[in-house]
Amino acid sequence: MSQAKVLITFYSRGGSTEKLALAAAVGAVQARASIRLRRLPDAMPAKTIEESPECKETLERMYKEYVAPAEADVLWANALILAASARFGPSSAEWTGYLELLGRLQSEGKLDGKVGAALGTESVAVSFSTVILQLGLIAVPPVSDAARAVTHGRQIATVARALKECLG
Amino acid sequence: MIKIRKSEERGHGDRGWLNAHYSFSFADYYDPAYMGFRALRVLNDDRIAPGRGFGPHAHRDMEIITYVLEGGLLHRDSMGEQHTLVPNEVQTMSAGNGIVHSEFNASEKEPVHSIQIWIEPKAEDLAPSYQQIRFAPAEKRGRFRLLAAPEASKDEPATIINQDARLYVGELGHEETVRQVLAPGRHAWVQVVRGRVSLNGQLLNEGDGAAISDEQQLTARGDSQKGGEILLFDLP
Repeated sequence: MSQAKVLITFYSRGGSTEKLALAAAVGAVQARASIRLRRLPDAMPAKTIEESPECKETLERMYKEYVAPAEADVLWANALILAASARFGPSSAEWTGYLELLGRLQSEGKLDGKVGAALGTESVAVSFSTVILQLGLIAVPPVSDAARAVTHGRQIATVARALKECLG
Repeated sequence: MIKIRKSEERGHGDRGWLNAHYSFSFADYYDPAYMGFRALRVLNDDRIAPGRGFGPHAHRDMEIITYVLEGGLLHRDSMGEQHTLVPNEVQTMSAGNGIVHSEFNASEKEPVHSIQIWIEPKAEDLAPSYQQIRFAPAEKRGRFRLLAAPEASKDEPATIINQDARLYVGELGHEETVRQVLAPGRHAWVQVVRGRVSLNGQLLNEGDGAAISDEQQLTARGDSQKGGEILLFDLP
């Protein structure tokens, strides 16, 4: 049985979007996928803690724990999960660099056959779903309910594995 | 029969922030002759630089036991557990059907020296769990202190693992001897984590391990002025 590879990319300051991303990762692991968790770097690192002093401790921890997604991570994955908070949508400075990378890989045909899904509160999940369709990813409907994030991760990994087996 | 795994013959990984010695194949170290011993799959001797560690990553279907020799190791996981593990404690994480966790040196100044152990569970898809217990240093002095077992013990609280295996720690003074009976058909692994110990008359240095089969009794003796500390696995 082949193993799906799931890349979960998130942007979080206070840790709640990180929790969603972790829950989706657990779901993917339950479906026997291997996972990578990547946090998008702050657009203006020096200003971020100043803007969100209440998140200082969480931010400093996440700086230590996570690395940014690299092109190699995207190429590695069969499925891409984008986890975002309502405050930082697809046009936020934090997401644009990553979405540009995905856009370039799409134009090079390197996203073909990959699954994509959004995770976050309803409004942001809907806007990211549009992005996923534009990137030509095979879309799995978004989930905005934290309680369903595990199930979502499991479903995405299962779809990615089934596709991988079909496409060879 | 006792087969020694010499410290210097173990796999070695150096990532700068991590200096690791692998008794069995792990990460980039692969030797088909050393894929584990019985249900014991991984035994890593890790030294992690201050402030550094393993970012969030996943595990599945593995009983993961951590024992710290020096410093403090900060654990965080997808079940919401967050704990620092220090010497004279043991942490057991049953990965079960899926867990994501991170492990970092809890200090920005001191290195951490820890032993990570993976034991294959008796079944897949179990519910994940986390346990951590502390014991008094005297409880491992001159005897084997139980760290992990398949069932709860009234005498000595230990972490519970989903495998018919037992893990003990023992600290021996110079020329101090402890004995352990091995039931028929059982196997054992001994790892010297500190100092020097002789096992049924064979000398083991720090970092050495020993695979033991078809022996009825193990006699461990502290064999240096500073004595020694060993982990003993009783395995199916």
